[in-house]
Amino acid sequence: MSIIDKDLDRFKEIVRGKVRRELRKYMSSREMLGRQGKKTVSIPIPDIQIPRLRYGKNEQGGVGQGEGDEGEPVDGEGQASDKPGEHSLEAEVSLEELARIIGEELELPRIQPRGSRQVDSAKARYTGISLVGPESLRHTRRTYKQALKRQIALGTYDPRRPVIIPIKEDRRYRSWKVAVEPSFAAVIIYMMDVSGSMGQKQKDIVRLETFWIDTWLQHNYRNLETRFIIHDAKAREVDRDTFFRTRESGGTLISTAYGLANQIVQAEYPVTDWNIYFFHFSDGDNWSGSDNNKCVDLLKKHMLPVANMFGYGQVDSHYGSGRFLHVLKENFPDDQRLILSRIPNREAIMDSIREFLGKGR
Amino acid sequence: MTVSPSLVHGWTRRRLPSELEDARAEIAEITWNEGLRFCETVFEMCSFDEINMLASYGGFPVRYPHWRFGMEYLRMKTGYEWGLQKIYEMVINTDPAYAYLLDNNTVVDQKLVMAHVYGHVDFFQNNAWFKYTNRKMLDEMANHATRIRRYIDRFGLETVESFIDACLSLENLIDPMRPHMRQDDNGIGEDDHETETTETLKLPSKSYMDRYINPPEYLKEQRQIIEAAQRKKQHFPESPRKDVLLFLLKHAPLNRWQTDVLSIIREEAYYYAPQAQTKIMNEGWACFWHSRTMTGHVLTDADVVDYADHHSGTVAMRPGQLNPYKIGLELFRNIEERWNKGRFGKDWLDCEDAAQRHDWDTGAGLGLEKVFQVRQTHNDITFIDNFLTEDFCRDNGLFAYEYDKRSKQFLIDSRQFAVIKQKLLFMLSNRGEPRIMVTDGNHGNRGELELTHQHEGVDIQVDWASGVLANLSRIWGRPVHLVTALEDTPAVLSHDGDEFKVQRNAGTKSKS
Amino acid sequence: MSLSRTLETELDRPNTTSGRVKAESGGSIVEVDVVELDRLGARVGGIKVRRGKPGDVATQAMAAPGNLRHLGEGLTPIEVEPSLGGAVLRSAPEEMDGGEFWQLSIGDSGREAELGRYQVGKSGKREQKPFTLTREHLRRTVDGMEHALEGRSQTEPSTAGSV
Repeated sequence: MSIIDKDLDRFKEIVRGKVRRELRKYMSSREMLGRQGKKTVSIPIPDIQIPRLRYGKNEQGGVGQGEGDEGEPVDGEGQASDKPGEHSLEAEVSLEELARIIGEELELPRIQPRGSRQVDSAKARYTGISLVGPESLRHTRRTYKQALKRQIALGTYDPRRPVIIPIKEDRRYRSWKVAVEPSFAAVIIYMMDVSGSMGQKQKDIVRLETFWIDTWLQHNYRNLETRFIIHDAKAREVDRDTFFRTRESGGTLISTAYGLANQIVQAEYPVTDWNIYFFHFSDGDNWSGSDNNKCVDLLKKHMLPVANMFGYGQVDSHYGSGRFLHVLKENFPDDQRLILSRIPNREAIMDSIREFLGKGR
Repeated sequence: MTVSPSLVHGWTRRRLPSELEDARAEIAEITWNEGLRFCETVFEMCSFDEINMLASYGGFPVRYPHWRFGMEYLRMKTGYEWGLQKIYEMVINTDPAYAYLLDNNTVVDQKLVMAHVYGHVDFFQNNAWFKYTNRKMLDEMANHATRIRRYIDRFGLETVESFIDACLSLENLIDPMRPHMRQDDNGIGEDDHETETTETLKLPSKSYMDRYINPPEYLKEQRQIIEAAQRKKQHFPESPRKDVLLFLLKHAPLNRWQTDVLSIIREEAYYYAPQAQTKIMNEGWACFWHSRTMTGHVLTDADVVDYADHHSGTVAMRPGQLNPYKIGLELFRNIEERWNKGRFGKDWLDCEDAAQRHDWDTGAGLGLEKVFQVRQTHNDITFIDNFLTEDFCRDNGLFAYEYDKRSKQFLIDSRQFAVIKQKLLFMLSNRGEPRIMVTDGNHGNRGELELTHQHEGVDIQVDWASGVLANLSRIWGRPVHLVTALEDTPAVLSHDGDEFKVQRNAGTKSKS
Repeated sequence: MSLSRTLETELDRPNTTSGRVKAESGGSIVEVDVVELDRLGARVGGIKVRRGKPGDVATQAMAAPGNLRHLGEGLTPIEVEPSLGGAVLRSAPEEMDGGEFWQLSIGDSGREAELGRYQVGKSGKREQKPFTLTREHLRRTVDGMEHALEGRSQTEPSTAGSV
């Protein structure tokens, strides 16, 4: 442990507190988008500072050295805000930690997993001391202690020339117990409307929100699978990268996505073994009333019956909020499995997560 | 007993290996013979990370526990990622002095660094502004740490920490220009002001001469002066106080541990203050000596300047921004050359013939003597004020720049000597910070605290000010006000413990 | 007579005050929901033009913006879906006026187009509202919609009969 550790840890603790207090800001922050796949998140923390009475940052100007005429920009000057000496500090917060913070701040209850699918994770834990074992587990101190005891008992120990020679019988080893921990399995099917009406801003919202949902669900399930479906007037399954990068210009047929999702679940995720979560994001402008009906049908007959939850998030576009949210509201007035959430902007992401995950699912 | 940093837990104690010890002895002898006067200096080897940690702690391995040190460390590490700061060595102002060297430098580098170190130590030991600093600061810092840890144990981390946070935000509100006053920490000399009675005002005279020597009008006049003084005495403080921390120590409703903590913070602030006031000189001096010692031996001028370029700084250099370390070095060299060649005094100043100036050399040979004298008596402000010349500015391509709000850029403002010098002096004045003083300890007759910012053309950063005033009002226990000006209108920033307010056109005392 | 002119004639009839007004010409039909009417302008709920012949919706969607420039806000294709026989265009976001926008829907495999004006409320709710056009602009709109359905960009000469 180095001398700086305590103060560094304390600082990180304060950072965490700050993240907690400003969770909404962090949840809406696009900087999170760069974090895919990493175990920690870098939180920019420009304002955990001790304030002082000082001049405004840009007020003073200064003295420089080099070429240039009066009126010309100082050589090498970029935007004033990007001063190297004052770029913002970043603190690393692990995703685990973030999930915990979200859970606490949003008061998300622990997920009640269902299903009997148990993956026996043989977690070896070193518990006791046994007399036999592989050399790698030899408990050195105990071994020597035992040898000493023996030598003293036998009278062969000479304190003037203390030499301890363990013999085979002296050896002590760590032993382990195999603990079988039940761990439940879950699958998330993410669906996103990528038709022409979903702009970059809307996709960013979806991206951020799915990041947080993922983070939280990972924290609750050791075995988590995720599948990604994009759709316009047709649906297809893709990987995570493509999910966020695709932009189409076609019309919107939501039923195609629901159909494909349903197909995947029926083929690969029997409800007896899996906790199934659906999330669909769209701006709500489905092509036609008849397609709306198809969707309702699919939900009622196939998807809701197998789901822990189905979350529908409707993002506003410039043109307002589409009709689909109402369609669902009208057709499923009190189905607990269906959670509807309107997400007008990035700042609303936090509330949307709370709506989706706030009740025990 | 002196606490050696090496004995601190977790610190690997590593004295110099023998070949470096030989090098050290050699350098010490060379520099001593040249005239440097330094106390015993203990050199220790450190890893890169260890030096970073030390730097975060201001050079002292034992400090009171606080997150700011952790933040500073993180900041430094991030700085390295941007390729900005590289610390080559760290020296602290103590006796014996301690110097920490990077363990993976070559021997040649280490020699250079050692010469540099002795330059620093000589500076600490001989510059007048350090006269009253505590050379046993290692022990003192450890002592501070112990006291604060005790309070933390007794009263809880968050309680003590948040109080320290508040004190730290006021840390710069001291009066470092009057080091001799610090000895009067119990307050006598600053506050008390004997008012003279009429009796003492009377001039000595025989009674029958009294009417002539102390005429009634004279006495009346004197009485009026006294009464005015007495009225003034009701004004509290009578004259503005720059040492705000001292004022708080004496008059704020602090309990015992808070008083102790605040006094610790104040002491440490005063300890470091001279270093802030002499940054340019100190670095310039150290560079001057390592370059003198090493040039002609192994290193070229370019290597030496390179060192100055990369030298540690708490301020990262923007491209185009002046490197104060280089300035210091160049100025010292300039002084040496000028005093060697007699380029000073009336004749020199009066000479306007460029050719004559160019060839001027009286063979005075006073260069070294002069630089030693300068390093003793000056601080950065007087250094620049006395020795920055028009020739120097021209030869070094200096310019003043300002921030242009419209284009959101820094633009070159002027290459005129007067403007440059003025700008530099302003940047150095009061360590580059706004001048703040306590002007009223009983504001509105309600015991509120009023501070005044002596505005010199640059506004205070308001959002930070609100944080500071929040802290101040917590310490003072009542509303606090800061009289200043914003965008050319008088303004008062206030905090009552709950809310921050800005009133414009309300103040009367701001300087235009 | 062109479709827009026959519409004019219908609108000018003395008993036309409000309600759905229909006009026909050369196999094309136009329907306008009139709210208010006078000699200079009309306040309408929506305009529908039906050309009756199927078209390539992609080409139609590309042709529409140029033909309807007089509406003041640039139309931009939002969704173009030949497989479903339609397309939707709306005012470009930068050119929207206070939460209001145009929407042109092409449907029935390119046989018809419908123009409406919508407003987005604070809660994101989208509502259709009537809009006002000068009689001149009304004529240009009908012409423009017809040309778009014909797949013609604005600079091409009209093949329909003039006047």
